[in-house]
Amino acid sequence: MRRYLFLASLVLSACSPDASEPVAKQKEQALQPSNSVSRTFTDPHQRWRLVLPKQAVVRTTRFDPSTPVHKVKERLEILSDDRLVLRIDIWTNPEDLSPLGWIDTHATYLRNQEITLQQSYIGPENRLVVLADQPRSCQSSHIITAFLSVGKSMVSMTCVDGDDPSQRTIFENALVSFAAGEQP
Amino acid sequence: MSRSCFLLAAALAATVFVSSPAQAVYQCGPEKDECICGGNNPFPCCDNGGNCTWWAWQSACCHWGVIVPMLGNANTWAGVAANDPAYEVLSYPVPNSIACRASGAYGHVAWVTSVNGSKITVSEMNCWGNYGVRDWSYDASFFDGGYIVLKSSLCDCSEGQEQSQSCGTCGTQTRPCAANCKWGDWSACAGPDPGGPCDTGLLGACASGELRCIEGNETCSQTVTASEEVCDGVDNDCDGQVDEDDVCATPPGDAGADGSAGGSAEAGRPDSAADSTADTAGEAGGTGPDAGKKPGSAWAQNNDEASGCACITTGNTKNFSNIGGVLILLALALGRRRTRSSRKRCESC
Repeated sequence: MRRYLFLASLVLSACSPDASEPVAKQKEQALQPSNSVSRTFTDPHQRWRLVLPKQAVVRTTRFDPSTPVHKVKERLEILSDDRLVLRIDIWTNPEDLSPLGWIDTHATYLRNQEITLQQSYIGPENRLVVLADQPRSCQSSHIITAFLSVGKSMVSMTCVDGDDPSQRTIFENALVSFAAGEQP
Repeated sequence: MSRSCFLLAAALAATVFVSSPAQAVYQCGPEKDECICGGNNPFPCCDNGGNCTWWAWQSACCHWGVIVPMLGNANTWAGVAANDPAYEVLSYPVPNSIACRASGAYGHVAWVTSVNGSKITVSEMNCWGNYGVRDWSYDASFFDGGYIVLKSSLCDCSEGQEQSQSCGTCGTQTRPCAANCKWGDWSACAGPDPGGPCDTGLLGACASGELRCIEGNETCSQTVTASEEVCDGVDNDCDGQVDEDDVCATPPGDAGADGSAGGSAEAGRPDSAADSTADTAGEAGGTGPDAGKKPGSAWAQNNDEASGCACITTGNTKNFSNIGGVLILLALALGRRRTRSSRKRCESC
């Protein structure tokens, strides 16, 4: 429970526009998992940078860029102990859609009575994020997907099991990394 | 602080009060997650020993050999697949596809085994009933979300596709999609050098290193190799001693200034001076016409003359005094070794 309260306070501090600490320090704190040695992964293609636990493996897949807009162009999968814990899908966003606009155009399956959509602003840049939260059900674990627009791309991050604290931490750290516009 | 930020934080904090773990499982009913497709089944199993999502994922894993990207409730599967370049969602049923029902709170998914007109037979599990896996017939229209197919069930990837993954502490490896639409071999693990100085753990000058990414791992790479000790205040030969062996003694050339015998022949040979003087200057005088010009050959000739032993000198030790600077020192060191070698052979004969 302490962990969740800590994470909540972390988001609060990242969101707060009148926080007294310097932005760089906030960012550094937010990116460092509190209970594990982290490593920085840099995507060699898109120049994303993620802070991840040391044992995590990142698998990157590039897809044909000529496919239609709604098809994923790049996928980053973060695995821990051979188990997928976080999936990051990246699309080109030529129409410069907002996260909600993207969902309503290309991901309408998320308009679902079991899924809650919530807009939020996170990170030092107050980046707009839409969280699609599908609670645990008989069929599935607790799936949390965050949509955010980064540059010319639309990014979704899916936490495979939002009830698993370690997976949740990886998800939140990765989300803050992207929201902060981390670049190597 | 914005209201939405507060709501997000509150939602994260509240999770702990409303959630309980839903673990993916290795086995659901009698069925085990034993097929090899690069990952484990992420879906839970219901109390009755069944779950449509668990079994549909498992069927795709076993038949297609891939991890399908669908993760949530059954009624989201078709939508996720539609956004994935490796899949297509058909409006009509085909064997070896995933049938998706989007209606209902959670929907339903099943593995299509056969199609007969508008009727299909699927292999399925459910969260109700106690039958494990069953084959069941449906009207195709029941699955209103469509039918997911792997674009090429025989292919692992499509031409031009490339995959990469992290490795080591600083590396990345990649593999291309080969012409047979299978993944090629992973490349060697490599990455950019982090740079910056580091300590190799070796002695003297050899301790100097630079951080490099070697085979994917951060390594302190030696930048200075051991060399002959010279008088410079540095442990050049990396043996833990600085300027040892009297390298800072009287400079070469001064030895003959006092007119002592052999001075010209042995000039510039601080290490071998004593040996050579004993062997050559003492016997040949070191003042002959060849002294100071061809110490190696002079020694051999003189030795021959003195003992009558036809020894073979294998080392080319001439020209010691004809070249200057560092080359002289290096040649002398070489000459010393070879002269000793020659002497041994002579002694034995």
